[in-house]
Amino acid sequence: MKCAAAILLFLSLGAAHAQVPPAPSVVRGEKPLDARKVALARDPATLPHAAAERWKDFDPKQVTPDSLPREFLQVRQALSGGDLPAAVSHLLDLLQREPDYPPALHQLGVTYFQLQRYGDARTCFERYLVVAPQRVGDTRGLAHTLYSLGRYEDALAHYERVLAAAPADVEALRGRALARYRLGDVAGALADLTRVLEREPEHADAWTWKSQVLLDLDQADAARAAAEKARDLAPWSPRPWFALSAALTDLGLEKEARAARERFQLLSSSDQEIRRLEAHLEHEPGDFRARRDLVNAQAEVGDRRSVRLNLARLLAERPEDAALRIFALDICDRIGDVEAGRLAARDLERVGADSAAAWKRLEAWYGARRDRAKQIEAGERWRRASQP
Amino acid sequence: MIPLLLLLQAPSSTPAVPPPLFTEIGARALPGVVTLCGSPQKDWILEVNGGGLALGDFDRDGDPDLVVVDGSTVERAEKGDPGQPPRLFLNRGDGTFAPAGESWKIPPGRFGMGCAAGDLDGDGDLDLVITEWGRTRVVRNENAQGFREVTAEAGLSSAVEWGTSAALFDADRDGWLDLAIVNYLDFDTQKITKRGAGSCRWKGYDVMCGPEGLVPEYDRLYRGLGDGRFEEITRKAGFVPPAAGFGLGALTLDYDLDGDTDLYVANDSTPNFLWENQGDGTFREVGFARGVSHDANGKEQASMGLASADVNDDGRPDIFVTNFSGENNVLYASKGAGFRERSSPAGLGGPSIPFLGWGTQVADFDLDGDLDIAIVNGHVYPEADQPGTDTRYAQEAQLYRNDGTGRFRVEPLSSAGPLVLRASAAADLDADGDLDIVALGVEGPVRVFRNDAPRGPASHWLRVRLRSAGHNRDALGATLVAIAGEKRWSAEIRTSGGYQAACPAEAHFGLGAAAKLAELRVRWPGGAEQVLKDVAVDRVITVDEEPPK
Repeated sequence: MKCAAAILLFLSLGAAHAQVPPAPSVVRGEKPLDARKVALARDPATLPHAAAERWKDFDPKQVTPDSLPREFLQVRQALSGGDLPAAVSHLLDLLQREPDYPPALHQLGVTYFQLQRYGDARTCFERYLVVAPQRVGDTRGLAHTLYSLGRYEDALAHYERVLAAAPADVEALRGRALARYRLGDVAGALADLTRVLEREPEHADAWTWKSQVLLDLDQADAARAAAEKARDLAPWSPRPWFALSAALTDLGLEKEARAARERFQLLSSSDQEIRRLEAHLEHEPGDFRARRDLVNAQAEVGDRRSVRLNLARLLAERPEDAALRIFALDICDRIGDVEAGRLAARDLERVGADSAAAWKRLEAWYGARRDRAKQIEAGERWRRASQP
Repeated sequence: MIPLLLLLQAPSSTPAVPPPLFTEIGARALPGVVTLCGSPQKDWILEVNGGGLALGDFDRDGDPDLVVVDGSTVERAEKGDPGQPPRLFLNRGDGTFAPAGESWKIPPGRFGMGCAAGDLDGDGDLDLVITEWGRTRVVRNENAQGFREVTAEAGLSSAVEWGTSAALFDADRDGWLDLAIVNYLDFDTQKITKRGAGSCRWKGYDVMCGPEGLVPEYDRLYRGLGDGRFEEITRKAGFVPPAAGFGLGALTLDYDLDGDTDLYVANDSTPNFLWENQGDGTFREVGFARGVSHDANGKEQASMGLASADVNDDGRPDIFVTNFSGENNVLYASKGAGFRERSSPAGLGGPSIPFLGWGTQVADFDLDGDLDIAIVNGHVYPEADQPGTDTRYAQEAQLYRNDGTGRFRVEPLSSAGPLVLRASAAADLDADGDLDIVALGVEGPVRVFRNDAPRGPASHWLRVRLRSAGHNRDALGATLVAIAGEKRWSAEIRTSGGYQAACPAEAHFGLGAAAKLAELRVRWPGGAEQVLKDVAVDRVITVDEEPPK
């Protein structure tokens, strides 16, 4: 994590992958709402260009966290809070002040990609490659972007370039598999997905794609096995169930196919609501009620990692809200996340020190954990807090 | 001087791009004909879908005429004021149209949407069903002399619903046409937020609300009684899915080749339906089991337009669906008992992603012997022109040309440039053997795309009309197979045209170099088979059903 590029990639991917227990330390990058709107209305192609060869000696290995421009702290805060428009705004400010600064260009590309503004993401990544042509290995995001724009041949060509520079990039390999699949090279796609799974056997998405590809190759038995693997790894995700149902249908196992279909339909319906809320929150990250609904919806399907992430954002939004911490504890119970529950309980003890409702909930929580001493203590605090 | 001229005329190293296949001639073919669909800024979802059209020979003079179903404004409809009336335009025979006379006038409804055309009463002329945000209407053709509205006695639901597409087909094979009405959603300005309140966003921009978050309406099925009246059989026929969809498109087809007519329904943001006819006019929804409810990733899409033809040459119909921007259009290719999505390998997926597709037709537009796909596009959000949306409000209509191997290459349909189009239908308007296209904008001028397919020894064609011996005079649901040497072409007779449109009840075959058909096989709706031998091409033929032997 010494080089800036690595930090930036961590920032951009961390939102999706970090194991985030409820923590009050995350705050959203402060940006007035209008600044976000202005930023989103800007075409990144209008950003100023650096003087020729301004960045020719740019080496991310020389960039330490301390040497990053101050805007990057704001970007980090904005991304941690899920405020992508604010991150865009800060990055545009930085690029206005320091044209073509490579880490900012790259991060802006990643952020536009997350906002599904693929044309803008492409602009940023392509410019990044112009100013830092030696950094091809960082730019699988450009290939993802081309893929999302439906430019599969271009995406495939760029995945090839990325893999030539960074052969260990599993996500680029997975991306190449999908591009090949879209272009009708089913065997090539299968070979790439197999390689992905050799390196990351727990990659649920790759298993799902593999199932789909195998079904296209009329290998329904193998497709079923791959779908079952994906389902076991990501039981909350509708896609493995969809793939499983398709494989079972092909195998003539109507009853089992129907059961998988019913599970898919249930999850798919929740997933639609989750996607709607996520899309809304991308632009309205401060909508507390929507994020709370999102946490509920994610808990409903058992997506523990996403619940943790959004719960952390909620708690950061209201650092002194005891009722919210009771909600957090309820959610942790619902998804069976004892580790996060323990942190939430500790947080509730602090924030709800004077709240009878908080101690009542804590008494029940410690009781369920069979922590007799803490249960008694919480019960005592509840009684004290309940006295007029 | 001569060598210089020769030099200037010499072909350059880059081959010249051929002009688009179609020429937009709306200003000449339908001068001054415009439609209305609410406010141009599109504050409500009701204002974004445009009207509908039907191409069919209403005056029985041998060429396709045009019915334009027009809309209104939300304010007018809420005040109880009538919308714009549907209008018939009679083909002059050359692909240009004249307004029909007084006897053809149709009274205005509330807020017109789409239409279906078919011979409801077996008298040999084309009647109309018009969908509205309001009550569905029935208009009878009086011996090809004029229209008479018969909604009051038609037996359709009097509920105010938002009907979009309709399909006429003989579901129960009793000879009389039955009717499916596809409904969208419960539109009520008291329950839905107007654009600008900040409650509905797309790509960060304030837009009109829906369909997500709104309440979808169930579709309806009616049994035709043969005299222009209907009996509702929605529940009795099992035409009720577990959850309603936001219905937009309807297409009849015999997907399983069992001789009865099935129905495919395109739903917006909810899974699409494939209603499998059980042989007696009752239905089972099999979209998921047959692989046509979602895209290949298991994601429900925002589907609008529909078309069907045998793209993969296996003798079974495939289904093509147009979708929202950011999603790809989908080709469901027949395989086994169902379908597999084959959009991207066919070259139909990626190029369609920036476009929001509506009306579509699968036909051999360039007469080279294989099927092409025409699509009219246009976004629902005027805000699509803002930065960062990866799309535009006005979009080019597209032609995906088949290269003969089942792969398609996209090109502009015409040189008209970007437009905001919605419903479309194809027919040979100028009797030159190729299929032309009429398209409605979300509002504004009606567009007529004249097909200028070049002619040569490898651009043969055949148009086939059927005359059934029963009440279903146009033989809706009949299937045809044309055979020349090793090559076979399949077609099905229908008038349902996908999104809010109706097309003529005839089969069009582009035959390429086949200068004669060895056989033309017809399977009539009643099940009888008829084979015509040594069929001459480059003409329109009418095949009468043989009496039973």
